[in-house]
Amino acid sequence: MTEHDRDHEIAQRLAQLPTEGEPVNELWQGIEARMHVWPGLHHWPVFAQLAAASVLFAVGLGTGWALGARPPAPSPAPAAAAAMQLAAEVQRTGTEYVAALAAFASIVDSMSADVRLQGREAAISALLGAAKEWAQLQGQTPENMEFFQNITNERDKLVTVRF
Amino acid sequence: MAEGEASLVSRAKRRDPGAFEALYHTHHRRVYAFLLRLTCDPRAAEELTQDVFVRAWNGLQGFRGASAFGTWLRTIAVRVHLNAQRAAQRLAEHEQAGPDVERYAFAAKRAMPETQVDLERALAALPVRAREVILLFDVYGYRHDEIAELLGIQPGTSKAHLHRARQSMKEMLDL
Repeated sequence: MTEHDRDHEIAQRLAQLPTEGEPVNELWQGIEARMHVWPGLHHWPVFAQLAAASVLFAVGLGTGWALGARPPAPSPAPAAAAAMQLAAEVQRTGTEYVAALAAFASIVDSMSADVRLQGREAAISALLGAAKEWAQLQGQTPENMEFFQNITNERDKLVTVRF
Repeated sequence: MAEGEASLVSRAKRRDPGAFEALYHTHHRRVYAFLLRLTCDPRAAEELTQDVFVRAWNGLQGFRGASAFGTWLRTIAVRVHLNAQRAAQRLAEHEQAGPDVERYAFAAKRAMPETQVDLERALAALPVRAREVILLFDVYGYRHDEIAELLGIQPGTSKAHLHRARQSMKEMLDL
């Protein structure tokens, strides 16, 4: 068998490999959660989507911070309900944030440099706020502080570009 | 494009999630299998499959129908894979270890029961760029100029990777 024949055999066997495979987990729900922005949002300019989502995200985090600072509730049931509600709010606003960011990223190449920079600043600022709250939530371990510091550095790089 | 798919794409472009879900159910197994072979990591392949469809949904207005919808998804899959690879390289302090070949072979057999496990093992053992090139050329029928554009390399580099990949596979398969 020549070298060419062996190459041909490899190529033929590879061409016959199946090209469909079933994932172990159900994937659609995760996709759907990231697809849905609130009704009508997709008609907004992407920058407005990003700004709105960032505000929502910040409001969700701010609400969590404010409620977290309140005195303990008189009974455990309302506290648990509030926590569930806040967790759902973090999930919802986080999903909105990611969806808006993905929409922004999908057309980023077509934007002017200035708009692109503004969008990136808005995105990283929301992420920085979230990272700070995350470090509070999880405890200020070296890993969490490094995570926070990395995002701070990224934000600072963007600000340096602007000024 | 298969009959009915053009209409689903058109509805999905008008932000009909049901139409997009139908497109997902038609194509997700192909996207997953493609990413499973590129990453050799079933968990990463699932996450990237989700990323591909989210990006497709967000970027549907850019799909003009010049290629089949499945081909367009595959192009997105390559980009998502390359982005993930770059992100992983930035995070890794040391050079990344290669894939766990046996774990991949198990996942490939589970996802694609009719596959040839010896070939899957040999593919997984290749260096990542060589694996990308041989998959695109021999399994998916891309030309070297198309591979070069997708991977951001020269066509000559694609040919060199293909040659090396086939040499390695012949040795691993005792051909």
